Amino acid sequence: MLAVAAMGTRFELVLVAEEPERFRPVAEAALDEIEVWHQRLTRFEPGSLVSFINRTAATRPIPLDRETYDLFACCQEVWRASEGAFDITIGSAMERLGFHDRGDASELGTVGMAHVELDPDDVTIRFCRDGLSLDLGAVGKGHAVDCAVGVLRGGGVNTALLHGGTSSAAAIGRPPGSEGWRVALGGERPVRTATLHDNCLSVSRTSGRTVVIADRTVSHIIDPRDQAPVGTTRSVAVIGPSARLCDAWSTALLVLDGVPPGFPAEYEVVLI
Amino acid sequence: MTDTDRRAFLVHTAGTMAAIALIPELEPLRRVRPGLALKVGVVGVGRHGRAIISELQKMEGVEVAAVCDTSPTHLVNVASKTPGVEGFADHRALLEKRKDIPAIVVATPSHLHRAIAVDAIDANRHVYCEAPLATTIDDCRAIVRAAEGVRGRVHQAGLYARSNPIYQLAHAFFKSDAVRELVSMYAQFHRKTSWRFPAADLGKEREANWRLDPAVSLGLAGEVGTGQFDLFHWFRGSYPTRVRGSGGVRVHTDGRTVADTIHATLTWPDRVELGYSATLGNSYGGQYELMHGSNAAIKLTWTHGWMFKEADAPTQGWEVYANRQQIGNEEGITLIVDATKLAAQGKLKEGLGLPYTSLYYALADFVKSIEDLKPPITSLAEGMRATVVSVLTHRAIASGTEQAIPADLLQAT
Repeated sequence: MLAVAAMGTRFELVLVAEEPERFRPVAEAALDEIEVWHQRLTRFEPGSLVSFINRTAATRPIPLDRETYDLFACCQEVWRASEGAFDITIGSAMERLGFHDRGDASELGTVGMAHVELDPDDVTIRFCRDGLSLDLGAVGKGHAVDCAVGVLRGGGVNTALLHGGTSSAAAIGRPPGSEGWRVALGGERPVRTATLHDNCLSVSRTSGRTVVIADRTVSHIIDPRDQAPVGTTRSVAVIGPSARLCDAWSTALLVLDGVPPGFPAEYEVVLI
Repeated sequence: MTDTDRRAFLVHTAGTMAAIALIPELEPLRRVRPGLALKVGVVGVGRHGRAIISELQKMEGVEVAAVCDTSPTHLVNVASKTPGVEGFADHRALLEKRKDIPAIVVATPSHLHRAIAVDAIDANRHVYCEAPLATTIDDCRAIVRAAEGVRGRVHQAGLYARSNPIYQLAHAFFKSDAVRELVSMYAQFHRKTSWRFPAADLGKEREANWRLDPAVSLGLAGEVGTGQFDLFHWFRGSYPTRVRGSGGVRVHTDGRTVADTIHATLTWPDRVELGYSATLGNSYGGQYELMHGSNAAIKLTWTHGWMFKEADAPTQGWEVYANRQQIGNEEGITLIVDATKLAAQGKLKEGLGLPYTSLYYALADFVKSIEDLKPPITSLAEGMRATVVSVLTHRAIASGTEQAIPADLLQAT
């Protein structure tokens, strides 16, 4: 088992192979890939790409590499399909509620993927108004897991389980003699489990990180449409081919408290 | 850049327009024209090359127009992910076909730098070459000599500390007597990793793991130490004259012979020593540099810097307004770029950390030198001197014998 600290959590990789040392370089390269995406996507380090975009994209279109562009385009698609329940422009609202520094609780933050222009020809991102702030906390771990899985598969790994902070996971193949990787989903006893086999899982719950506002403890899951914390206590798991889409949709479904028509057919929802 | 380097650059620059007239197919390079992007070619697009492209893409008026790599997998990966870029498998083809690209960044494995850098210089391009400049003193000298006499082109070595705004601020403090008598210096690079990489292409394991090939690798002293040693050369304005060291394979017993853990002591003419520690077996403390003086210590971590004052050191007026952080049992004054301006705006804490990476600042300095046609912040000759020190440090560690660093070895000719 190898592990790396990134994106405010711990990523762990379990790899099954007859000659595990032969695959160590591939495993390290996969964890390096997670660190690369941490350095690009974190909003907590001023030198990251997302911090740069947040500072600059209201003044000019920012050229992107194709992978980052595709990530933002994917987020825009989920934003549309979820009718705004998932939105990576939530950064200023998170600041306002005190989840990040420099928040101003006195006024609503500027939120809305509608104000983000993605140009597929020039491969750029631009903010159409000031004050927007990207926060990929709800999708970054899943994206990093997907990219790491690409490295593992490219390196010949055919049996592995990778997770970030136990909330975003991907399974490659299945352990010998089993139907798949059995993963506990948490919640009340009896604890539900999912069996993963060449697919991914994301779990979102309102009981994770919290802050206290006006003597009330509120969830870190924010409804982007009114910038209010999601009130009820619940957990949602999404299983499907892409960890980043599982991440994005598990957050959206928590906000919506239901499954919208735009939810992709090849994904499965498990209410915990 | 030493005074000699600067004078040499200015002398070479004097004939800029004549040089352009002799090579009409190149764009006029005196200054990047407003509205026209500076086209850059990146040779070597493994992991570090990708990082370079990512930083260049942040710069307004800069376009990554071509990439080159002998690995088809690297080339396809990067070319398909970078809009508008043309891929080449041979750097000579890039130089020949894309004469509209005036600037080349060399980011290949270190032992391959010489041929690419010399060809690019000979093809009259601006060249940024990562450090270590090469893996032998001969190759370093060949690169520096190729640039001698070339007029109106920027040739920069990739030594990041000199471009880093926090390090520049610390340098100013160091020079202003804030540290007073220098007692000792220390630097480290600690990271837990095997330093072994999967081959991008079938049967290319040895090429992918050139860092572990004793025939071509300078080990940790060269691949990591070069940039850190240069910081002390810059701060002190001088170079060590001898080095001793030790090392071995402590953790990664996979048949390698290149040490995964090293210690070295570099001694300056005034007998002040730099202790250096690098390991691939433990990550505690990460990468940083430290200078102990009789009045204060300065600690630098590439994104942050602090000054720890002695209790009996005189207090400066500005210290009343300085931001402080508790680091373990010590209280450090945070080194903040533009602190006076930020303090006046009540935003001092917003200055903590840097808004860009050290790599970005080094590349931005390269671009600015091209735009302004001014000497690079770090000359190839300075890159050679840092590399010579790391070559001899590696030699001291591998042989277990003290190595002299004579002044004539630090000269290109």
